Amino acid sequence: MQTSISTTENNLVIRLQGRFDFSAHREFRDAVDGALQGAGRRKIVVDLGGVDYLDSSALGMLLMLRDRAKSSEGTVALTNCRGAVKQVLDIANFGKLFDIT
Amino acid sequence: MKLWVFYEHQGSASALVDDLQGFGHDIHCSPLRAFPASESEDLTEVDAILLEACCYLTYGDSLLKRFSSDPDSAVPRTILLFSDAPNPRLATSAMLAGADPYFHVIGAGAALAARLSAVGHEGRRTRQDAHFQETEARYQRIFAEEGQTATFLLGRLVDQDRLLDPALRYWHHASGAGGENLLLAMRTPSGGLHLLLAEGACHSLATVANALPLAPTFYRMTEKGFGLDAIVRELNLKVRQFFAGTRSIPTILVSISFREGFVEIWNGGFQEPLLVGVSEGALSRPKEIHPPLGTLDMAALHAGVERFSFEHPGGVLLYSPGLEALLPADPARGLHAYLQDRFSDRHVFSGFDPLVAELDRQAGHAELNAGLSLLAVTTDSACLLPMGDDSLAADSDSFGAWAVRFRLGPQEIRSIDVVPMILGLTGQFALPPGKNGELFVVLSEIYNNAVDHGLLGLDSCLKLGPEGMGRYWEERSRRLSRLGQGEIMLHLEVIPDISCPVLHISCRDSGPGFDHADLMGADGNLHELPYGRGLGLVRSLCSRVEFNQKGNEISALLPLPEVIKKAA
Repeated sequence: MQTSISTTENNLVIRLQGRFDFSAHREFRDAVDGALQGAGRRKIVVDLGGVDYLDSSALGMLLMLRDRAKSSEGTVALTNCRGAVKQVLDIANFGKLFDIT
Repeated sequence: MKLWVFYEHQGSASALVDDLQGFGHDIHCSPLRAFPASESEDLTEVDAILLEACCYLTYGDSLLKRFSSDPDSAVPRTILLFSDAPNPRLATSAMLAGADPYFHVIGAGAALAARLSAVGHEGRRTRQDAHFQETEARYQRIFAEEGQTATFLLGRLVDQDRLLDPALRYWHHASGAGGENLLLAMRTPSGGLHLLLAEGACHSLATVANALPLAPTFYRMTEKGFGLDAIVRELNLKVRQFFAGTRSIPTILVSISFREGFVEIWNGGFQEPLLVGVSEGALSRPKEIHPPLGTLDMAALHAGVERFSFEHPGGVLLYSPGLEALLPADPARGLHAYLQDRFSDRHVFSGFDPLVAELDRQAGHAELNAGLSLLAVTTDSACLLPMGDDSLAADSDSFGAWAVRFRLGPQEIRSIDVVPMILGLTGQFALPPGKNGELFVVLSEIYNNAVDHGLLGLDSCLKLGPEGMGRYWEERSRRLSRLGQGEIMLHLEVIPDISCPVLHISCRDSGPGFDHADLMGADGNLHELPYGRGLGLVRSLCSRVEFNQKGNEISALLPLPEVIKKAA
């Protein structure tokens, strides 16, 4: 999975592309480490528009990101959720934990 | 009538012929001195022999032996004596030897004609009887052949070995015409038991006709892990297609879950089953009776099942109509009440054997127009069978449009990215758009669980905590690099030729298995689970998910949209 980070005034965006499963945990972890260093209290937005497939490992990684962001009083949102990705997030009731758009 | 006159005196013969003038008989005459030569004459179909009495002592025995019991004819020939004067002693001797008791005295033509008329009637009746017997014998042969054919065909359709299930006891009695009810039994992938009892026709071949749309579908869908409701829908469709709406089949289906202690019932026009040892509650007695299979079109069919919990050991008793004719049930109360009294405080099997003994005694005397059946099924969890290795091998005859099977050893598991590989392969078979994403989730969860927990023995608790994922991944990599033995078998098969096509996915690992009961019970709030979300996702996406008893094999059915069915 490929990751990239960009920032706006209010948000820090982690853009993901490819397959988001357990095999991507190192890339995601590195991206998260980088993002949290620079985030401060900005909202972290995970752009899932480029994700082909997503499984329960990805859900765990997103929860891990949320917990870490929370510890520094940050928030996490998920954006560009479509198709199978949105379907999985809906099944897992992640709308209760994240802003999903 | 065809008559043959044997004489010594020409004048006597002529006088006899005069007596028979005007009665329309076909009369032939032969002198007895030429008797050996008369052997060559055509004496077939002679209705009666008239023998001059004075010749009886010389030729009577030979004639009697030859004509009164012709081995080539079922009709005994009649031999009457004639003379110009009565001879009672001679007449008695001849009669005792087998000749007709009438002794004709020449001149009494009317009496002779009357006697010959009676002989003619008797001959015609005897010939008719012989014809009927021959016809009946022919029908018996045809019936026996049909019965043999039916037995052969039923033997191909019905898996008799499955009826030897320790959770099941049954009693069948065929009708007089060989018709019997249809009983099918099969274990599900998770060790549950499915049963089907359908009313047979009164005739053996008609019973086979009923079995044709029912048996293969029942076995196939149970083997694949379908629930009763899906099986009912498919059976109804098959019966309507097979009989073009001209026949319906009263049928009851039962599903027993030994592990979880419940029974599901769908009753399509059958007798109300008896539940033994049912938990207290509103639904302690089955209430729903649907029309028989094949009656309703698919839109009107209600395939939902009733579910009942059991206190162990409980049981279910199924029985066919007509059984009350063999049991001393009070007509005012009915057979169900009678059986309820007999089984009220007994294990379903301990009550079954004496009941069957009584039925056997009564059925031996009764003429039955329809087959009778009695089944007892126990819900005792001791009947939870260990799953053997045949749970995947059983489907070696694939029914789907396509199927793929992989056997992966340690080397393959280390080096092959299995899930994308399978997705790439299934992509060649044109799954509908959007299904790939669902298939990825299901495959990923199933396969990775088999690797992580089945072969590598990893505990999901390792994932907990801030560094949990990293710890888990490192431990996983370490164990995977050291994995020396073990295998995973993956099987995917499209099942298109049912009313709701599915992709059947199964995965079995060679690990020790696990207790999946808690995980299977969890539902609803996946976001609150520390782990185990994957199985929750699979259950949400699939119409059915089952583990085998050991917990090292999972079977899931992913529904496919209509476009696949039409394409297939």
